[in-house]
Amino acid sequence: MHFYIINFGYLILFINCIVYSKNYVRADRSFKIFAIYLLGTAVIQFLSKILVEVDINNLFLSHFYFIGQFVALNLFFKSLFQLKAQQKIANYLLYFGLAVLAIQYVLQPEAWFRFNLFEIFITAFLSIVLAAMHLFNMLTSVKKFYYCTIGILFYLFSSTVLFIVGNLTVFLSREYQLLPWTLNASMVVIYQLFILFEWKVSFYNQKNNTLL
Amino acid sequence: MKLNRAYETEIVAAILYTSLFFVILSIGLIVFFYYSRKRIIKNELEKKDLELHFQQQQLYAVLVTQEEERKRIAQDLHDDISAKLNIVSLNSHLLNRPNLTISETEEITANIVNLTSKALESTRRIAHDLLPPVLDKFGLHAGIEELCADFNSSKSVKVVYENNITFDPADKSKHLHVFRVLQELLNNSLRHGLATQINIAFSQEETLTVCNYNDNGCGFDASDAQNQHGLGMKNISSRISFLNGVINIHSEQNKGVQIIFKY
Repeated sequence: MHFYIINFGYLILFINCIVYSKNYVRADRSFKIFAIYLLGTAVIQFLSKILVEVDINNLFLSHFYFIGQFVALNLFFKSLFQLKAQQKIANYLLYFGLAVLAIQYVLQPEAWFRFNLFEIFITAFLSIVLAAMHLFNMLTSVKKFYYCTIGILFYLFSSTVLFIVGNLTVFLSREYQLLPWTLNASMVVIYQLFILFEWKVSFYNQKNNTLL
Repeated sequence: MKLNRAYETEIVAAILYTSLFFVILSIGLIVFFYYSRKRIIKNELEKKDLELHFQQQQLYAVLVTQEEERKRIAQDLHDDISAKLNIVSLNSHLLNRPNLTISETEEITANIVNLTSKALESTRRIAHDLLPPVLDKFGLHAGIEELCADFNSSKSVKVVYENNITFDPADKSKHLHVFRVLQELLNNSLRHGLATQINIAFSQEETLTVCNYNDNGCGFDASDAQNQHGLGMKNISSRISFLNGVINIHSEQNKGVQIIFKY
């Protein structure tokens, strides 16, 4: 069951990578950033799978995933903001997050070898702030990446808890060890489905329109 | 190191409930945004509809006024000028008649001169009604003074005009609107309000020009929508909106009218 869900998540991520790359050339900046984010996620998933196969600890990849996701979503939301002030806020949050993490890794290099709870918390929290800002902007304007933003909000809220208990899973018996990861895989599936739905609603027809 | 069974179950339950809590929290947030957005968009649409309706009404008022004005001009031309010119033409034909005595010729010529001067006077009056030349040549202040003098000359009303500011000649197009608004207000006071005393005062409030207008007529119920949407009032409000100004009308039955507009 666990591996079915994980593989299903991979499949949708793979589909999303393809459909988002197809529209890449003619798309605007935010779309491009989002497509690169999806590709990056897929690459990290693929690498972690390979490392498991050759029996190397792949936990260090999680840091690339969290920090990469944080930077990508930050740039993504920044490109969606119209107000200069909001763009500035996005910049400050990015610098703040990266600076704080850099300081932590200097002071605690051992954090590299386990789930870095502080990293998980700060990257998710700052991204949630930006996602909420974008949703707030969309209250009175046209929907742009509406379903993606909803998906991001949903996924960050739910998966952050599961990542934070990540270090605990080592102590659980076999029976329960995979439970948080199965839940997380389900959240990934829902998240990726939101992204696919966004493409269907906002970009699938757009392509047809430009052809006409 | 593995945990004991009971402890492990507790931890797993904690994990499950915490994630469930956050899932519900995120769904709650999303639903909240969804409904807020729907509501805000609905409100905006209603506001736009109202604005559109208001604009349509203004346009309608402008069209009706235009038609009425045309009708009035046509009537003036027909009754005053055409009629007189007809007689002039008739008289001119009479001059061609053979065997006219000198006295007859003189009488006809006098008739013609008399009627042409009357027709000329009528043309002047019609042109004056359309756009007072004083307003055009000497500006708003002189225009309003003349307007007040016209009303005062009727003896049924006393108009007092006070002005502490000088109108900028560069704002000529604005001044026409101000003039028309005052003309409409004066007409209303006289016709509907049966006022005997009217005060008009202009003053400066920072960058805004403020006009205070009040009369002692019978007033009207300002809260009654019917009074606010008459043709005259619509005209006034569209002129004020051309001026990017605001108008504040205060009136009660038998207590006259107090109007302040700023632009």
